[in-house]
Amino acid sequence: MRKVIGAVISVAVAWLAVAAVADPEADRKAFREFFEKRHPEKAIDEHIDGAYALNPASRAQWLEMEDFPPYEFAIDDGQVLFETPFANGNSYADCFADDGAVKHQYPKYVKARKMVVTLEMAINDCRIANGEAAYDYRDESLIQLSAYMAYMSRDLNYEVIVPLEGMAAYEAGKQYYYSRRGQLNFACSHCHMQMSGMKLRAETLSAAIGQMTHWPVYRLKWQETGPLHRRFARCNQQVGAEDLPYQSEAYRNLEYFLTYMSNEMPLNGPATRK
Amino acid sequence: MNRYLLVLCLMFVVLPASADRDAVTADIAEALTLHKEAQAEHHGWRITLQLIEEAKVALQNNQLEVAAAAASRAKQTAEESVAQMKREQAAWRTRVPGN
Repeated sequence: MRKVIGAVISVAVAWLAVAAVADPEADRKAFREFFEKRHPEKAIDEHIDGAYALNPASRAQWLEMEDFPPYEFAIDDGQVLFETPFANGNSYADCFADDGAVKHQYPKYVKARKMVVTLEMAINDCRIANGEAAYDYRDESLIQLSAYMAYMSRDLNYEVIVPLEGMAAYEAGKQYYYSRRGQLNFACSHCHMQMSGMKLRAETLSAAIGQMTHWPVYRLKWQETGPLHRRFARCNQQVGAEDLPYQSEAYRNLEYFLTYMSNEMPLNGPATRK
Repeated sequence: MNRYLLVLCLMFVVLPASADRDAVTADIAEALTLHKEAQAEHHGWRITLQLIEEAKVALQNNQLEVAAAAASRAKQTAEESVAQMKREQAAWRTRVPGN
């Protein structure tokens, strides 16, 4: 009995410690102020265009590319998938309100599951609830569906919520973001905060704020539309750190923290990037 | 007499090689243990596993010097990754704006 009481007290103390330290709104305010000072010539919302907000020459090329954006096929295919009924007669519209225009609410902390649920996970949950097999997180169909839902959510502002129960996940994502990793000993924040707007070889480093608004992304390097966690994995590799599986807990928490930092910014996905 | 001499010579040749092999195997095992410790906190380095693999292959091919060098480097990078993991448990907070 004593052991049980001891364990309950330890969990409660740990939970209270996290709750006492974490203040997502104060973090977001400081995050915005950081970029307002770092790039005073840019309005915060301009950062939804990533590096193209900071490099005029690249922006001109990118805008031309937007005349015939390569991610359009993913949106069209995603729409077909979204509207195709499951074997039981239901469709994705039965799981997602407003014809799928819900990306601005993801990721969300689901108390019953005690975890952060991303849009990709929610799509798979919908499939399972309707008797369909879940997609692999690298599956093209899943990326197409998320591209369509991102498109439907365009211009809506992010409104990610961090409830008290989700604070530990938020803090874990925050810690992941600011921790040095890999042989090169770099944190995500080194490239996308301290060095945002500077060059890494020929490329301009984008600002962390607004980075979550435009996924999934058609990358010219990939020659296809791909998910956010693919980019996380590549960032890890680039600093010599081991990458993690897509939708792993650490990546979902990282997405949770970063998306919260982009709260109130308009969605503009899918997008094209080099 | 000649037979004893031959055995003695063989001991000089075989024993150091065997000792090296054991040392390399121990280094590989230690590197892997340390790597897993760092990996558990998402601080595993890609280079460590590459070096461990390099050491194992060299060991299989009886290239003891190559194996020893790779295993030793693997141990070193694994130690560095654990040190990074421990350092970052507190250091990350210094990078948060407003702190």
